[in-house]
Amino acid sequence: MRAALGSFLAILRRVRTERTSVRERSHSVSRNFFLHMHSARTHLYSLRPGFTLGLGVLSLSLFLILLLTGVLLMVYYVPSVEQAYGSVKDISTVVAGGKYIRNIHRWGAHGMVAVVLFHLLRVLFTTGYTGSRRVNWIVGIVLFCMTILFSFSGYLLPWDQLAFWAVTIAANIVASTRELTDLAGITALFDPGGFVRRLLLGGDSVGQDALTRFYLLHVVVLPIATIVLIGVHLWRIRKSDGLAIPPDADDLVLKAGGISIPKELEDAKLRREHTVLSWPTVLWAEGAIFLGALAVLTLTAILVDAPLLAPADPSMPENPAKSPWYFLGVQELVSYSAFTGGVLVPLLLLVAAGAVPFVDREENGVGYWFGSRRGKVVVSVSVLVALVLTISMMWVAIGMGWHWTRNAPAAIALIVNPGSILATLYGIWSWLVARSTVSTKMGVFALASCCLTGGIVITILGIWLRGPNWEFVW
Amino acid sequence: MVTESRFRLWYRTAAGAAALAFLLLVGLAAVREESLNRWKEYQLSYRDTLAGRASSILQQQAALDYPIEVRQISIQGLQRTDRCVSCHVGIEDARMGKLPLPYRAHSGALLAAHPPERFGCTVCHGGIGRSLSRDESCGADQPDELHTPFVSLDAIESSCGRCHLAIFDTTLAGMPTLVRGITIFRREGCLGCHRVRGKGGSVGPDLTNEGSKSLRAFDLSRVSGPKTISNWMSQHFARPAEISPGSVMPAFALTDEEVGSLIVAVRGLFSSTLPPEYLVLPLVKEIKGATDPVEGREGFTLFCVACHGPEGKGKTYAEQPFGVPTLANQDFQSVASEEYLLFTLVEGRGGRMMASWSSRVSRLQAGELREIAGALRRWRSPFRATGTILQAGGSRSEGERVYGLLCAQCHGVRGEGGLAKGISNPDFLAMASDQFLLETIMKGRSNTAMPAWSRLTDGEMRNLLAFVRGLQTKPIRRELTGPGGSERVRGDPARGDSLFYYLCSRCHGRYGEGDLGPAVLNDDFLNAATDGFLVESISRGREHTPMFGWTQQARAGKKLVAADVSDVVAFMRSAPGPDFLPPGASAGNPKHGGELFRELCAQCHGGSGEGLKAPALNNQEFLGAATNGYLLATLTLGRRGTPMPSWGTGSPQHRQLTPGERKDLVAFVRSWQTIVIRSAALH
Repeated sequence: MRAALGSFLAILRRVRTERTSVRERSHSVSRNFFLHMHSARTHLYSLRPGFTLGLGVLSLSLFLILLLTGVLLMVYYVPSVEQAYGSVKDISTVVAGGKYIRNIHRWGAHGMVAVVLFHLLRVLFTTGYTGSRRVNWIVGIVLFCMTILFSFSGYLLPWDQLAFWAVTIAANIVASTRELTDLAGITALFDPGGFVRRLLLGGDSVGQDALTRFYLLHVVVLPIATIVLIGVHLWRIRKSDGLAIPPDADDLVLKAGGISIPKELEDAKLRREHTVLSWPTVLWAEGAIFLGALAVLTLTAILVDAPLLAPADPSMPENPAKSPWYFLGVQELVSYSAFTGGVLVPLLLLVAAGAVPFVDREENGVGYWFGSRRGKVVVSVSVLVALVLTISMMWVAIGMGWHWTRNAPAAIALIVNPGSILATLYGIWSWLVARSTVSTKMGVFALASCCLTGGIVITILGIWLRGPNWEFVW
Repeated sequence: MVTESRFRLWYRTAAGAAALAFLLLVGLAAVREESLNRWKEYQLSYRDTLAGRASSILQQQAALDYPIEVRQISIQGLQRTDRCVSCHVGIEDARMGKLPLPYRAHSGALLAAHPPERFGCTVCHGGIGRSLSRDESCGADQPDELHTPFVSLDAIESSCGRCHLAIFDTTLAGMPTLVRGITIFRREGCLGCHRVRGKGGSVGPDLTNEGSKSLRAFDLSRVSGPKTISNWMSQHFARPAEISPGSVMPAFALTDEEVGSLIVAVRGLFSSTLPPEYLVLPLVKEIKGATDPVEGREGFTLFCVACHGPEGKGKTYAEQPFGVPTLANQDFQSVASEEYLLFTLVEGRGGRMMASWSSRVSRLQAGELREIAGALRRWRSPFRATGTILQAGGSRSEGERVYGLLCAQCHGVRGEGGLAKGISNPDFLAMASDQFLLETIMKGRSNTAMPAWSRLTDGEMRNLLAFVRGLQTKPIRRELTGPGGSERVRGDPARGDSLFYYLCSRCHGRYGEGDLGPAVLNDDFLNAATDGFLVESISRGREHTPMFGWTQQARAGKKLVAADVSDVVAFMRSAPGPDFLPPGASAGNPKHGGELFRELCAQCHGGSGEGLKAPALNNQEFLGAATNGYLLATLTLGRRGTPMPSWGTGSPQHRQLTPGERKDLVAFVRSWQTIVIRSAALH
């Protein structure tokens, strides 16, 4: 503690850091409860902005901001169906600073879902999941799911028309396993979707029970679980000796040249590793990201107000009733087949994502974006292929209409629909890539690029190109 | 690749810049929140106004101390918080009556009876009370799905309806537009098709909550001009089928001013969710279904005039596809019995516009329904006491003339009978008092072909009486017709029941409705006949008719004693009617009737009686209400004033039908009846 304080004061006095001893700088991190998650030394390569894009730190920063603004919101929010709307309205109108706190929270939540997704993609495309990092990858996937659940549970809390109907739709998507169990005639015995739906809603429809459960999830269960898992996630990074960087990172550092290593680091071992002391550089980096996130969120909060439509009215459905944007791609697929779009495809995506480190054990290309030049080509081509496939599939489905399912047996409609067709096509493409490049990693990259592109296309479709009655609008 | 120090520099600069930006933005937000508020501007300006109007140093000081803060009215009972007074600061200050909005004091004396701390603002004005932005709380750009949109001032009285509007018991002082509108609503008979708070018809939608409907609940696609609720309503009243395709609502001829009032009234209909302490007592009673029963004429106006017209005239087939029968027709009223009217009211006419008004459907109580049916009798010449008529004698020759015109077509030229029973029977005339005869002529026999002839003048009745007495051959039996004959006999109705069933019903009908013999379990008959008349008729019989004297001759091995006769009479006096209307005898030839029908009736009534330009005759409810006597009488008399001719009299356009032909037609129409409708109306 004294050491940290000493070096902090030293910074304030604008003393060059070289004057502070290595030991002091090392201790300021390793002997501090809050900071000791950091390793005492960090490799320079990890600090490159173009490498990580700061996404992991950004996710954590957003989480902290959301935690703080969330706690502030809890001061005035009342989770009762009679009072929820009014309390949110009060926060937005009369509570001092309430409007901005709420806006920051809202846009931060949307931002966090996107940033966590990008962080996942960054780790994927820089092969940060191999070797000892396999477990952490799974923890990360779980954290991603929790982020989505966080956003979803918070979505209901304002209890306005947007919230109510979005959650109604999403809850019904959860129950879409019934499409399959109804076909098999076993719904009475085995109805997982219905079970989860009733678990979430505390009943058969969205009401006070749902609000209470979602609030409980949002402010107690998920925060505790997320904090614990974030702790595990960061600890696993330490256990894997920091971020996944190329094995020849040191040579790269040498090649670029111009390293000025302080005199006390002339120790050969340290010179070889080209690490720097975490204090204060890494802390400055994290601070910059955190403050940057804060500034951007505040700007957004000033410019755009979080929406608050009319109070929820179960007798007047929104038309179209749209789930939150991160579910709209799923909702688009659900409009063709509830089970495939709502349960099968998301489950496959999750399973595929979780299986990545077990499928691809190639250790090459770690720390490089897309692994290699070949990787870049594979990704670009896969994006193009996915664009073509997805757009043409949706063109066919929308332009010609997907009405043949009306008279076809339900089992056929369940098996043959845009979601399953696209999934199959992506699968075939990535298998072809893996075969021709003789590399599972390329296959994984191809599949990931396809899914990302396809997901973006159908999400855009769901957000902007679907109007009342889910009709296509241009 | 960069060095550690350069990284440090970058990140330190970035952090510094971000921190600076953040602080600036927070400052900006704070300034925005604190200073750039409309409500603050208004309050500051109001403070200046107060200071300017101060007439003393103290007042000046008070004005300068005027706190600039968010003001709100929080009403626990209504679960509302209204912040309108943050901008509308002068609302309760009477001195501010002439200022522009939003400083102006509230208009009128409404706030005296509706203090803001108890009512707030939004309960009357709508809008979002919690908001501090103008557009949201009272602006033009309200979200369409808002349940309580801001009410425009030209329809503001509709909000009064939330607490004050009771349809059946109106005490609405101080709300002229609303009062006018509700008067029009009641006057035009809107409740005939629309239900409000449980009472009314079910042809159109329930209007109980019409005032709560938001803009989105209306189909505005065919509204011309601005798409507002008021516009939808005014165009709907003028051209219903155009605005709501498929609507059978008639177009009402109302002036623009009346339409405006009606819109305010209809938008003032709320099934109030406010706590009962805010509602006036008549409204609370209405919501609980505990209002005083509606009396007959008022009930007719409220529920029936939209179709049947305020004068009961009905609608021609040109005005309305199915037509609406005229109730104000003398011929109809004289033939339709109480049971017919009540049955029609309670059961309706399936497949036609006349809905069922039974209690279960309309929530009108049985007493109210009876009153409404009774109110229709104002279009029948009233029944008069026979005493005054009897005070003078009549002219037989005049009577013969009247008889020839009106009665002979059923009773025969010399009273020998034909379609109807003979009235010249000596035994009958010997024991029928003048009172009995006049009552019969005046009131008729309900559900038989004998209409009520109350339209005849006193003189005509006297003359008829004189003529009928002229047919008498046996002397009148004073002991039966005089006051002494009206003693009540005592007997056992249960025994009488089985005696009646086994012996009398073979001729008089299973329910005494008449067949070979006249209707004897008929209210009109039993009211007119004394017990002595009944006892004597049963004991002695009627010579030259199938009615023999039951105590004098044995038939089927049975000869009755006086006690038996008393039992039968006791049964007759006490027998309740069945819960359906027995049609009565139908002795005609339906096949021949069919040929006649197709020749004479089908152009108006339709080949299968489905009704083209005349009422549907194959309607099961109609056939359940109309006995054969009703049908016969209608055929014979026609309906003067409507296209239905009198087939008993004949006219240049229509030939006269013989009694046999008329009976055949009745039998044919009866053949369309496939079910027997039992009705609660007949208990």
